Amino acid sequence: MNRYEAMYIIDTSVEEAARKELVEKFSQLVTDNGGIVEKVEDWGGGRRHLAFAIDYKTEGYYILMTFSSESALPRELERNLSISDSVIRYLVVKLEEKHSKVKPKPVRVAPAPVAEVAPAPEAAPAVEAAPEAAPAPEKTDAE
Amino acid sequence: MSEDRGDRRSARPRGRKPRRKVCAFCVDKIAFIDYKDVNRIRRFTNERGKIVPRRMSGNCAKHQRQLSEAIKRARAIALLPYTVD
Repeated sequence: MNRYEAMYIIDTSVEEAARKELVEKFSQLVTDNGGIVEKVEDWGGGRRHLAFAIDYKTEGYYILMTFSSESALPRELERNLSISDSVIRYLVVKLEEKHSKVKPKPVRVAPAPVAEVAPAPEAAPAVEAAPEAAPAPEKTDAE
Repeated sequence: MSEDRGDRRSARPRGRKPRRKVCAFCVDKIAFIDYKDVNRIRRFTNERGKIVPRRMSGNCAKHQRQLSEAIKRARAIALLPYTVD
């Protein structure tokens, strides 16, 4: 299983209901072929200005879908995307390991300063707690 | 010794001050350049939409390779232009 990211642009002339149906169709395709759809979103608020006109169209709906699947699925998905007339452009990219490794690192760094600060407040209550704890065993000894 | 060093400095062509450029991606500690990060990537294209060379941007080789890949992906999905007239 590999992680992939598919981005495709749907024609703005397609109505909302039909567009959602289309998005559903592609995510269904992934799940039907043993893939797991992780996320589907209207990227950048959905409707976006294209950097250049494609077939005289200057706007499009950007859909971003992340999924994990076997290596044969992206080709099948691309085939379906290319057949669909409402899809202006598509891009299926494999998500590299580096992508996910970026985030854990800052998390690991963060606990270290917290751990250094934490013992100081704990040390003070420990001293206060000690005299309280001390009389208690004496009582038990006396009894 | 010190005289030699002085000579070498003066041997440089006049008017040019070589300043060490640092890779913008290394500074920001970015391990992966995403094609969706259009605003960051766009700064490395010139007004014609071309990819700025390493000698201009000062990027390290590793990040320049990633950057060119990201720009080309962004172009394919119409996030960045191929050319600007």
